[in-house]
Amino acid sequence: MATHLVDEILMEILVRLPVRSLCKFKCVSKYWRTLISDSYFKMMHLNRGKNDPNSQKLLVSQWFPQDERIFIHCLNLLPSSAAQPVGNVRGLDFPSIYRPCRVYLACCFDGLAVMVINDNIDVRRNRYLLWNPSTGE
Amino acid sequence: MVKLKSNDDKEFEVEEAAVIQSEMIKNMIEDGCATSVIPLPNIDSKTLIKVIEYLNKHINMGKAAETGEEDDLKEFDEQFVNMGWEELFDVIMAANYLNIHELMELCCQSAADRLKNKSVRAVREMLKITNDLTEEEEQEIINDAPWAFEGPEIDDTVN
Repeated sequence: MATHLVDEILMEILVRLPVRSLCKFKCVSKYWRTLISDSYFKMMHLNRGKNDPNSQKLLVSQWFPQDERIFIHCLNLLPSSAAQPVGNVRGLDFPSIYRPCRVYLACCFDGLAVMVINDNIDVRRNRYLLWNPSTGE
Repeated sequence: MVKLKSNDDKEFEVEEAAVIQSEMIKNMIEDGCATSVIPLPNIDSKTLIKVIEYLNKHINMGKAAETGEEDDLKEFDEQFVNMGWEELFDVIMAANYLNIHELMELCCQSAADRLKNKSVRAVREMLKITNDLTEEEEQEIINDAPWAFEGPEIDDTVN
């Protein structure tokens, strides 16, 4: 009986997993893929993250004008936790001909961030990028 | 005292203060339906013993903060979830049925923590799931988020 988990219980367990594990576990079976991709499940996962102090994060962008390096850091809002880089901005998903020379975070909502990017082709032109830091999309 | 009966016909007596942590039984008592033995057709005696052990330990949870027993409870909880998969799932099903919020939280979190870093293969084996995705479908999922499938923390062991 035990391993035939009913939907409700499987959801209760999966909703406690980080995004990284969920992306991986879509590969377990068709059923898991459907369940994890389901919009109701995603909403449950997001709401849980919002109410869990361990999941709350602060995004900080850092720009080094000398060598044009850009970093985005993700900080836990718990005391005494160290910052972890969420990935170099250049690793982001936009055409590689635009090398960003300035990035700043415009706003965040529901786990998504809007970033404003100036590239080296036309520095005055702002490009807006909608980014999900959890999935890298 | 409240009497509970497991699906293998064993009876257990539990203090009312302990058993009302179950929303289901609390409602039954309030509605006056708990005068004799409460049958629990979904729970076997082995699982019920575990659940009662938890209920008895957490009987004064509200007071734990005042009496400094919080660490003691935390240690108990850590020991409590130290059980096999099958057993853990049985307790989750029972906690869900009896509607014991804290126990559900504890056991589901433990299950999630165990699964978190497991490889896909390990999860299938642990939960006895047959893979029905085609190779192309699998590859598509990997291509969507290759970073989720890499890393030294991924654990292929089954336990």
